[in-house]
Amino acid sequence: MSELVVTGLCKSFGTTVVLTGIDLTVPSGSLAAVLGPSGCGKTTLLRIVAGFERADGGRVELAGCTVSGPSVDVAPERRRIGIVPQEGALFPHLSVGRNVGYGLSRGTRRSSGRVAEVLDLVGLRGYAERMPHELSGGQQQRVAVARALAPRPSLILLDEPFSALDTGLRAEVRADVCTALRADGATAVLVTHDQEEAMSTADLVAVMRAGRMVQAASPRDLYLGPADLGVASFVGDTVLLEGTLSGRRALTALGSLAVRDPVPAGGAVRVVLRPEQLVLSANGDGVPARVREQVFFGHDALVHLELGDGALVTARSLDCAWALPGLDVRLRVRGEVTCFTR
Amino acid sequence: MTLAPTQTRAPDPVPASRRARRRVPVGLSLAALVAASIAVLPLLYLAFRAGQLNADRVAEVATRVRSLEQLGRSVLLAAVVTAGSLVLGVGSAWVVARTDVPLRRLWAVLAALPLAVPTYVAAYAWIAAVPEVAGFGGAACVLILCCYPYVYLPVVATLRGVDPAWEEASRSAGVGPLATFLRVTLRQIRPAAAAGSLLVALYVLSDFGSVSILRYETLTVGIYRSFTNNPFDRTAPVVLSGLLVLVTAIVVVGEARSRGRGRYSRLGGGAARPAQVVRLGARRAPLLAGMAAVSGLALGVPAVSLAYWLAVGQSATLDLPGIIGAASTSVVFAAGGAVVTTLLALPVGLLAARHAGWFPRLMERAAYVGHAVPGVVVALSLVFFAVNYAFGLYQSVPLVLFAYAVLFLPLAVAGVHASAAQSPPDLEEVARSLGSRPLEVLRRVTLPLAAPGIAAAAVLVFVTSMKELTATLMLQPTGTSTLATELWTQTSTRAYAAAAPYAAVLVLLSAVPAYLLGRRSGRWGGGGT
Repeated sequence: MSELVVTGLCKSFGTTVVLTGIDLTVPSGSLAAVLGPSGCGKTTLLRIVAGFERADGGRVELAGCTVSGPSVDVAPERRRIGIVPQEGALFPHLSVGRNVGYGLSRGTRRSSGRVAEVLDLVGLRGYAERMPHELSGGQQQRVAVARALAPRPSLILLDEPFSALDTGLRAEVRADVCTALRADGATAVLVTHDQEEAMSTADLVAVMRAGRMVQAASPRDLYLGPADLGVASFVGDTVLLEGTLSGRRALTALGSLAVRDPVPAGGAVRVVLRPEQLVLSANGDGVPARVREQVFFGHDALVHLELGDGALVTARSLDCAWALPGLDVRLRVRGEVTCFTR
Repeated sequence: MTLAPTQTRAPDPVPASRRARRRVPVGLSLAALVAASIAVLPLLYLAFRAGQLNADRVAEVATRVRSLEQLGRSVLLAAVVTAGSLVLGVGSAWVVARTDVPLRRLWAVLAALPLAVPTYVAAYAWIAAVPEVAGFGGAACVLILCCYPYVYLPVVATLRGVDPAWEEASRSAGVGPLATFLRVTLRQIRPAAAAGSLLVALYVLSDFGSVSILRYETLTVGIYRSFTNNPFDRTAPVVLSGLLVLVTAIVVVGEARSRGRGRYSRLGGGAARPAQVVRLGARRAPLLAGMAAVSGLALGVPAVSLAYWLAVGQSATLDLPGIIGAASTSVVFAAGGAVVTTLLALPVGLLAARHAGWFPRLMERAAYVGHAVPGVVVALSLVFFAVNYAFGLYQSVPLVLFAYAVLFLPLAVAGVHASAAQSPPDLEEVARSLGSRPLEVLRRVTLPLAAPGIAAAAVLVFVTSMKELTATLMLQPTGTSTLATELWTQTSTRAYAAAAPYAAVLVLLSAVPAYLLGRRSGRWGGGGT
């Protein structure tokens, strides 16, 4: 099948090191997201996989064949890798149908009905005769995906394909595109700096930072078990506490908390948990805390609290209208926490 | 889910020199090398010939009183015409862009129009109407009236784009309007004016048609004479050509030097507020009269003179077959020149638009050589080359087209480069990822997208080739003649009535594509020998 395996990829532009020993495995038929801040090298990684840049070291294998390695450099047109660039990059001189059919041989274009099939997949049935400039941004992006899907490539690379769209439109297009990718059984890699996008769409999220691959895991594992503090705060809001490790429990201002694997060696640790793990009650069990401020978001609210020792924590709650500033409440931790050696 | 705002929304930056990393295709490079070699061949061959000359003979020719007089006349005429064009060009640009002179839009169009009239046509019209214009004064005046748009066009564009904040700051600092113009505005338009002046100077140095018609013997006329008077003497024309190329090179280098120092006056882009219009008040009448006088002299006199001689010619014998023959030769030569030049420009322009590095840059520079080498020099070199190595080509159509290619490659390369640069490289990468080999990408994506720009470049070369006189005169096959060469021949025998129809047809034929070009880009294309 069309598994993508990247091993030990290195790349420098002049004296600037862009990628250092990148490893990444994307199983066949799954959608992986490469997540990282601007300038972390994720687009370069994508361009090396696609064949537009040559790596200085390392190997790219697709479906068991090396397409880029020390002595191998397969031309982009022979890799069977489709790309969806940032702004779609539709051919402005070709109709939607001809754009989608670009990568198909003349015979296939006419007889197979593949063009109509992929246009259908992205929800643009009947748009084949339109010209790209007659489409909205979201529609153009859908056509770009259909064009990449049409020749049934082994792999599809999407380079921040939704970043140019309005916020409202983005979620919708994203959902439809992911549905289309899955319906066609494509293996895909999505590059993004938007952790919400990565977490909500991908089967596997690979976090990059300064040219290195920091962690690759399922969105759930990444959120709950980040590899370091940087990943923890990059993929979501955090509550940070000082603590002391004792066996599989951490002693903190919030009491003795269960620690998730892998448990560090021991001693003083930094404890990370998510705001929604904190449970607020007016009077029940748990440690005492005083409400300092409440920030209301509509779907939920963040409650900023001060603990007995002066530490500040934040709880996320759906039902906390009663927790007014100045009120004394009780706090309890739900689930396991993550610890890092200090 | 609300997430920490630790990231920015900016997309990943494209590596600064992304163009540089793409593998330069061998086929395209070879094709560009061929085009660039063609562009530099005449100059290199001339240098080679010069190296073979007898040193004593060279010194003798170079120090002849006549040669030095011709050199002096070329330099003097170039200097005077450049200065005059600068005054007239900057002046009319300021009036059009910054004052409330009546009929502003009309003057804006009329001030650009002289570029559409070949200078030798204007020279013919003037001398046919006022025989006294022969000589230095007349040549200088006629050339200034023809060339000032080269300065006017870039300066008026700059004046319209200049941020008025600088001028306002100067005025509120207590500096009067005239002083502000001299101290602030002039500095801002300096790069544009310098670029325009360079074009004027190069034009005058390479001009042959109008100075020969106006009987002012500059270096180009000297080269042509020494070549036609004694075709077996190679020393005189080669030495004179060397002098001319030297002067041209000095002008080009000097302009580049002065531009380097003028960095402070670089203008930012962006949409500035339109500048305030100067209320002329009592000065309206004299300025209006001035604008009318310039346009009247530059366009009105030639038009009236041409119309008069056309009317006179009606009563004389009208050589209709001759006119039709010359017109079709002109069209065929110009079309051939446009096709050959555009084909040669394609690899150079595409390479330069898509790839960085020394090789694409060198190829583009080489293709621009023709911009600074006078037509008479290119033609002379090609004549010697053909006589020595390819006698079959001597006085043949392919050699004429070769000369057009050398002379007008800069126009075509600029057009191809600009239009290819407009289509984003992303499109080509997508095409590659969809399975297209590089040549197929060129055919299915790059060329269709650049086609309108390339077509415009071809039309520009067509118009310019049609107006070309010098190289055509020296290279055209015996027994054929174009509108331009026929006009020149008739004029040099003072057959003004017989010359008129050729001038009229030439102006009409080049006006049609020039009009199409102007409508497309909103301004007139320049250039022409």
